[in-house]
Amino acid sequence: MSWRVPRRIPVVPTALLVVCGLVAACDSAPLNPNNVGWVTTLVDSTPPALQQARTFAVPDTIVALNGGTFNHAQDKVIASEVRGQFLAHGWVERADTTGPKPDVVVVMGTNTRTEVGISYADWFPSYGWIPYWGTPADPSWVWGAPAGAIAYVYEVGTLVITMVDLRAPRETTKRVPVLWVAAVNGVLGDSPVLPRVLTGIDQAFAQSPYLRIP
Amino acid sequence: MTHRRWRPLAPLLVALSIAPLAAHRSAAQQSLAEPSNFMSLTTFELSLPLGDTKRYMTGGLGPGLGWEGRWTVNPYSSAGVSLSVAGFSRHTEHTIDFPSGAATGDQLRQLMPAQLLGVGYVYPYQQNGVRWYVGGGVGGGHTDQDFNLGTQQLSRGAWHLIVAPEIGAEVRAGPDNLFVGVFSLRYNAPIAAGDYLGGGSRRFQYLTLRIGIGEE
Repeated sequence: MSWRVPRRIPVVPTALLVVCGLVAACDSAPLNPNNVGWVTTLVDSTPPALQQARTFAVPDTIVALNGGTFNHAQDKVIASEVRGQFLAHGWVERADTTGPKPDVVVVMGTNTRTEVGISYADWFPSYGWIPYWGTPADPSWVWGAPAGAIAYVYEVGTLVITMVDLRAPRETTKRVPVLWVAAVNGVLGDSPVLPRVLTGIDQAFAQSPYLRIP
Repeated sequence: MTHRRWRPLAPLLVALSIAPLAAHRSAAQQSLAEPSNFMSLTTFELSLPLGDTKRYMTGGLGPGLGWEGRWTVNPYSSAGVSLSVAGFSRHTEHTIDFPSGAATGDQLRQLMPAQLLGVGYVYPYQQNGVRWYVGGGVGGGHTDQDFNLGTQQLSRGAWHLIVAPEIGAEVRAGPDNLFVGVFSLRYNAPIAAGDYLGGGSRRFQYLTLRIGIGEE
């Protein structure tokens, strides 16, 4: 009895099996819940305004952007971390709203919907209430994004930290002069995971060496 | 891997693999005794990144797949066409500095070259059922470059002229030596082209170990 190689079996099924195996092996999704902890920072391309700033203020409230709602339980802890980083970088805090104004005010917000690019819409209902403007402001004002800003996709719950220059002649331009923005992607949900938020804030400062005052 | 792009390509390659086999099988069934001058190969490939392709692999080899048809020109040479795709991917988590800022987090770099070559081989040496060959291919290909920044994907691509020298061996088995196994090394050397992410043209070379199975 002689053994014969069956003609129809080997090639095509083997090819199909290997193709399926390859496709399955390659199907490693690049996205998972741990990947959204992105930290991006944008800086204005006009260095003197940033280099000459020395004093800052950080309001304690994180604003819910896009008209949504947000659990404010961790606001003070997060604001404290940001404040601590500025102090560690050599800045001087001027929290008193009645004395000399700080050079910059650092406002914080969080996306309540996915955004492409930093959310610069509706600045007035979000931040128009802060007492540092010192000049009449109204809803016709717009954000001035840092020059060369790169658009990213920001998930719901992104912590957006924005440094606004209070020394700029904003009355005539009606543009909110933004010097620096940090976005920690998708870390603020209904129950913020505080270590991730604080680590993200620390990373934002670590990758922005130009914030350090010599 | 660029799984979204593999999915449509994989059935295409399977179809390309099956069609010539099916066509050839019917012809072979008509005359089993007559030697055929056509060989259809499905190749499974592992590629070692070279040069600027190394940025798209963290060690290891990139998987690939191909189909090749070879026609016997004379006892010492053959010619044909070769279609193949390869994939390279690399995960990193570090800070990228831009002129106006920086970004830190999960990054995925992917490269997927696909190429169609006209190939030719000569068989200078044969022993114990193994035919050694040298040759290679010339043709064109398209390379897809993807860069995932968190949830954002940036993509570029370009067409390249490709030269691909190759050495290998054919091993025959089965009734009438009908089945063929091919083992070869192909150096894929595209000509620099395109305007890829990161700036300018790139070659994206790689060395491929090809393992083919087929029949005559």
